[in-house]
Amino acid sequence: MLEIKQLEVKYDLISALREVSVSASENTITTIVGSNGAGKTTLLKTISGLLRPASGEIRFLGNRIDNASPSKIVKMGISQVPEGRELFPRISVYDNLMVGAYLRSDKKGINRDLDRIYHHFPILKDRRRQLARNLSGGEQQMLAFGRALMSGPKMLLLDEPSIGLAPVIEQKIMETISNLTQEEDVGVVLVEQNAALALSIASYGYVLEQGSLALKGPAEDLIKDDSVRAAYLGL
Amino acid sequence: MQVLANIIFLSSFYVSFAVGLALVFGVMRTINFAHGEFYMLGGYALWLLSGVLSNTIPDGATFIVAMLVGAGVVGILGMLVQLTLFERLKEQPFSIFMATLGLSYVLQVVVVKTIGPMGRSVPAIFPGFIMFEGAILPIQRIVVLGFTALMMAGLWYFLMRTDLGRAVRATAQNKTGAMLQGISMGKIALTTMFVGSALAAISGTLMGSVLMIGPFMGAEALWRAFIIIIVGGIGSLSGTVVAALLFGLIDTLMTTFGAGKFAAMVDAIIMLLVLSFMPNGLLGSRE
Amino acid sequence: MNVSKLMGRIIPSVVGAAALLVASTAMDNKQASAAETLDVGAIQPLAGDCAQWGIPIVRGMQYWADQLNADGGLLAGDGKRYKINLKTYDNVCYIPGEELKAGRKAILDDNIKFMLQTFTPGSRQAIAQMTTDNHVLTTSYGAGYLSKDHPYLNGGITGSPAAYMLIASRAIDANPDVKRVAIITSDQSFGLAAKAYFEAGVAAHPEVEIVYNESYAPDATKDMLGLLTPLMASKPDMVCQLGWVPAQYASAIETMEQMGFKGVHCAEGFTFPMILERVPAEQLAGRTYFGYAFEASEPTFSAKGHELYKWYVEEYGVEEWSPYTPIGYASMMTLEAGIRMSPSIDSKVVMETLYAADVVDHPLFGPSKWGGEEIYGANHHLLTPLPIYNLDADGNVVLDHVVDHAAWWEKHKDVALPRIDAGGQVFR
Repeated sequence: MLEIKQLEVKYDLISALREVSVSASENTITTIVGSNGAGKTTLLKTISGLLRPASGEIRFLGNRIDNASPSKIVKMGISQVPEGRELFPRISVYDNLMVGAYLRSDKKGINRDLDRIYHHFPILKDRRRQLARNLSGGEQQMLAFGRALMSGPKMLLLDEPSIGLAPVIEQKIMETISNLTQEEDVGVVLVEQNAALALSIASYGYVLEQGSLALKGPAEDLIKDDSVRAAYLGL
Repeated sequence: MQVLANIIFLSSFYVSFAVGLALVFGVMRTINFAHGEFYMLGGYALWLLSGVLSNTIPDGATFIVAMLVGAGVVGILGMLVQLTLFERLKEQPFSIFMATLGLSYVLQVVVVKTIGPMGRSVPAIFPGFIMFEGAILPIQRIVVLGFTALMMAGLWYFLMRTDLGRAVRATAQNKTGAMLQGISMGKIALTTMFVGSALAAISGTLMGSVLMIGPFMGAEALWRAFIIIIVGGIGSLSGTVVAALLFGLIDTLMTTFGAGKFAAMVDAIIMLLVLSFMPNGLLGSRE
Repeated sequence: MNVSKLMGRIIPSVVGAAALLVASTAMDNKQASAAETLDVGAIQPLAGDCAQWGIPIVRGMQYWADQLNADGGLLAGDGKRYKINLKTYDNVCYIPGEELKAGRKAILDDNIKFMLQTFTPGSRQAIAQMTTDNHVLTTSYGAGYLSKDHPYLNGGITGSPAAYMLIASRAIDANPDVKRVAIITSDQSFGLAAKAYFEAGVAAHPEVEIVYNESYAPDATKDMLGLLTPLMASKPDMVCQLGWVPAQYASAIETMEQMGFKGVHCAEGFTFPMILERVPAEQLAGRTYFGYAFEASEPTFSAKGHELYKWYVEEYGVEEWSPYTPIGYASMMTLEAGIRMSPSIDSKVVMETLYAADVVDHPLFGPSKWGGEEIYGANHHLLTPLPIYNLDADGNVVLDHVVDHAAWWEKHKDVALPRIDAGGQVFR
């Protein structure tokens, strides 16, 4: 569904990503793990159109999107839950969700999706009138998921969803991602520093090191790989 | 009672003038120094149209037509400023400052050269006054107050109840977040400049019917508006309203008790105090 | 002004405006290479709100120069004719520091020897020493900061602030039932001077009391209703005001009338086209006393002066007419009289010739004497007669009375001078 070939992204003259090729398909979780500064966030920003690649190509459902505007990319069905969540702090939970549906005009569909999100995350329904900044960290992460789902995406890009959350909540978030992938019929690209966590729910994984791909393979293989265990799992 | 009425009238003027500036600054993080001239053009729209339309339609209708025409023309002017200046000078705040300051001078000179440096006034549209509890309430002022309330209600509806308005608020609070929801920054900037500039023009038409109209009426009003939006909390519309009420109260009381000459100084001191103890203003958010 | 004419002006001026911004000084009256020209400077506010005073004054001066030039130039006492070349300098609303900058440009860069500036004492003081050192004969529409030490500064006509005293006094004379006077002025240098002179004029009438006497900061005057509420609460039957820009005068009068004021208005001048948009003439008729130099829209006081009005209205439209236009025009005529009398065009000689004359035959006001000794310690103020005007029910300005300044002063100076002194306006 998402095909990235030989992608190179530069900040000024310095390459942040070199010759990165990644593919992700529907109904599965594809994870990209790597340490801080490996280029994971850069990769997701480039897919969403916030950064322009220097070379290489990105295709989604067969169409080139590496030169499309962020708004076009959302419209085509790629929605991102960014690092740090990037919520709108001083508007209500409900309004945050509705901004997620900004590009849609099908009132019925929007209401149906809103109900589904309230079903997945009942706490958001209870707190729909509160300002987003008054939610707890875990609740804010749920809101970020909900907002991303409101655009009716075919693919979700998740950037470090577990960061800054308590271990119990981390676990819950990963379960939620698993469930969403199955129930909502979306593909997920999950970027994580916490490799153990990410690989435990993903079906395929990539390891990114200093802007280049170091390893790739089915998640269950990577989790057994000695170098991965040593470098990312602390074993 | 008269003092209370005066406070309300003055505050409503401060609100109507400052709110457009606050909106533009809140969303775009850019100061439009020509905002005062947009306000001035709204005043001249009333003057021009009351000349052209006199004896064709009732004065009250002229008043409304002037508001709509002024808002439309100035709103489009605002969009042109966005396309020609703000868009091209992105990330260069000093250039934007100089460019809009230059635009403000150009607009002043254009009016001086075409219409003249002398102020203008329009015939009273709603003459007369009513007495209420010993206070004199000119009917024109009451009408202006009503339209200011209507304008604020319209702005509230737009921001709180429409998808585009919600997107404008979202962009003001988190640009990256907004882009990731597919909101086009260009469209939001154009919308904001249109609305902010149109608000300035409506305010100019409203106040032009009460005060006098002149090429430099906006330049003076702008500094007071800066103080209001800084004290209210940059980017916070509710803060702007609160600060406008505060300064309407202070300025009126000071003139009432014969200390009007110190009003400008006291206002500036209040601004400095607020900035030292509440750097984000009364209702501003931490960023 | 009709709309098509307006549109015809908008397009070229939009194009011209940007160029004008850059080149406003460079464009100043490029003169054809006439053999004998005399540069005359004007320091006035040319932009901002105060341009509502400055630009009409400069236009009046330009008319004065154009009239003389059309005649082949000013015939000086040395027998030669001089074409007048008017140069303008911006003082940003009479701010002393800006006056000094403008003065430097005029005097040191452009070598101006004859000049007009505001009467505002602070602004005059700013360039007093420079005019003295460089022999720049500088007149004004009134007396401010005159002294023996600075003989090159003179007061060309009665003007400000002396006129305020005469207007207040005349208005009381004409309305014997006036017993309570309110005074409101700006807190700028010229406003504070006006306050003292209004008080001096009222002092000539011991039966009249001052019930309100305040000054305001000009930028706190967005809202007349707030400012005038305490004034009206003092229940005056005459209100003397000074320091507004013309639009604010109109707004002030409208507001007072709305608040039910039925008494007498007094000020240096009113912009009636603007006021009559808001308040019917029959309501104001006989109740507005004003006078500065002379009101050119009124034809009987001076037929020559009335020509200025006709030209101005033709050129700029009746809505642009300002009571300030005649003051620059009339003041320049004092210099004109001096140059005509003087055996030489040298500014020192012209200055000495003027002061030596017992009576100066002012081209507009006629024979006038020098005065000012008691206030300034030097007789450098030409006490021209002051016409005072009123409004009739048709909205026309009518001549009310001509005050002989010198005679009024002789009669009332014992009571008037202490008030002027108390207001800090005696500079002996």
